[in-house]
Amino acid sequence: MRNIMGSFLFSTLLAVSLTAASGPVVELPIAGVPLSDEALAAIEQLPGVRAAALDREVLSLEVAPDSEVSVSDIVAVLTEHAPGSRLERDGVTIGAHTIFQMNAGVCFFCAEGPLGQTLARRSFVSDWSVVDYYAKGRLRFRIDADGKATIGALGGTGAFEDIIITDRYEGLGAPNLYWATGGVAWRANEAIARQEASRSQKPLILFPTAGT
Amino acid sequence: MRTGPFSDPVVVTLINRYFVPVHLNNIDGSGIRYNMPPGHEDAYFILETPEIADGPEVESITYGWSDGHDGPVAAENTHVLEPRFMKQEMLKFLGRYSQLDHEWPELAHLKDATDPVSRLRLAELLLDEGAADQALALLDAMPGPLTRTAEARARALRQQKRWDEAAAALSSAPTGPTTTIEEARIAFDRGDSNLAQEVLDAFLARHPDHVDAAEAYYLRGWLYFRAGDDNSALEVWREGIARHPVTESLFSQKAHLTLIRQNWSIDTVARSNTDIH
Repeated sequence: MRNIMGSFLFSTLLAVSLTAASGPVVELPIAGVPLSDEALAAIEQLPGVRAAALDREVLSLEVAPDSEVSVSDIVAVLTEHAPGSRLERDGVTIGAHTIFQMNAGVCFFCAEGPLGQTLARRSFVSDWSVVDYYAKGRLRFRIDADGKATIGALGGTGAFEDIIITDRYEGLGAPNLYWATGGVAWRANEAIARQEASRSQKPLILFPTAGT
Repeated sequence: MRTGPFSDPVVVTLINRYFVPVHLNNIDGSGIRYNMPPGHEDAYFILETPEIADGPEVESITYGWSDGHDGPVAAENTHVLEPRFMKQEMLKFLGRYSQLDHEWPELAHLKDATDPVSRLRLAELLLDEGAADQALALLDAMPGPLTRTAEARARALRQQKRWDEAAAALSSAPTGPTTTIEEARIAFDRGDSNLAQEVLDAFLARHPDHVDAAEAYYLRGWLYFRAGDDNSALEVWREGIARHPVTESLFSQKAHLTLIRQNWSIDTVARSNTDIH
């Protein structure tokens, strides 16, 4: 009954929220003891959570637009309010709003290659991009998955510092980490540059270094 | 303060005016080039004469420090190219191959102009290249307390690190956003963080969307960093980028790169103060 009520409440909340901009919805599989109303209420109190509802063993979560909710925060709430329940993080389906946060511990340019190689080994990864980066090797990325894929298939949550649900990066192209820096009018490729240099009798300046 | 050689607009101007720049993809596994193994990444650049039919042989010089592959001319032992070093070597290269040193057309066009507007424009173009001596010679021969002239004079004197004279030159112009940001630059460059902070905060409070605001955010971030407040520095840089997208603003690009470079360590990009605007 509680689940039905929960679903009803969630539907109502979603309907209400449709009057405002809707945020991403994610389904989180819960194992162990079913979530109590108290635990559900605590999850709803998390910053960034617009609505939460339990349907059998799946916690449906709507994240407010331009907000973010981290999986680790949900786990923390469960640990406190529902110690018999656990979030099956590896079973979470990767969606457009699933953002992976990792602490590479090295500079972006050093991390990018190995990360790309790792992701390339996952057949369901059709594309990936870094969406944000922070100090000291911390970055966030997202992937485009072909078909349904779970976080477990990507290597499990243990590989990541955290997983964030947010629409904050929606519509945002990947930051161009190889930005055509500082207003230099880079030529499109080496052949074009060499032709122009010959024609204009200007010297070439070549930068083999990425990102500087 | 720097984020690499392109943090210095003078370097950028010299490249765009007198060189043909291209970014080589050295990570595609195509083979050793310029003694650099594929995948090797470090701070260096190559200047090369163009291939000209029946002309002299192509000559190229590799500059900078690279792991295990020092170029003929070593830069400072750093993984970030020093803008001042780069500017100096570009000018030396142009001097050595003077046949390749083609005067920038607009400069050539204005060279013989006598009207004040053209002379001022000429001075500004020279300042873009960091030629403060030549610019000052022109400006000193120009009469009047025109705002643009005063700003150009202040900019030239600032490039020469003549701080008091720069501030005095600016004081002859009516106060406005462009003189305020120049005042901030002078204070920032001379290391007067308190004044720079005061001026930048006032500027950003009144003109957050002004064309020079991206620079103000950038400088303000570095002031926070200097004060040991890394988080506020990040916040200000991010705010500047949000208001002034990197597609539109050089300084947002610089802030963007500074943020990336924190993945190394912010200290490695903060050792020197070499920006010249």
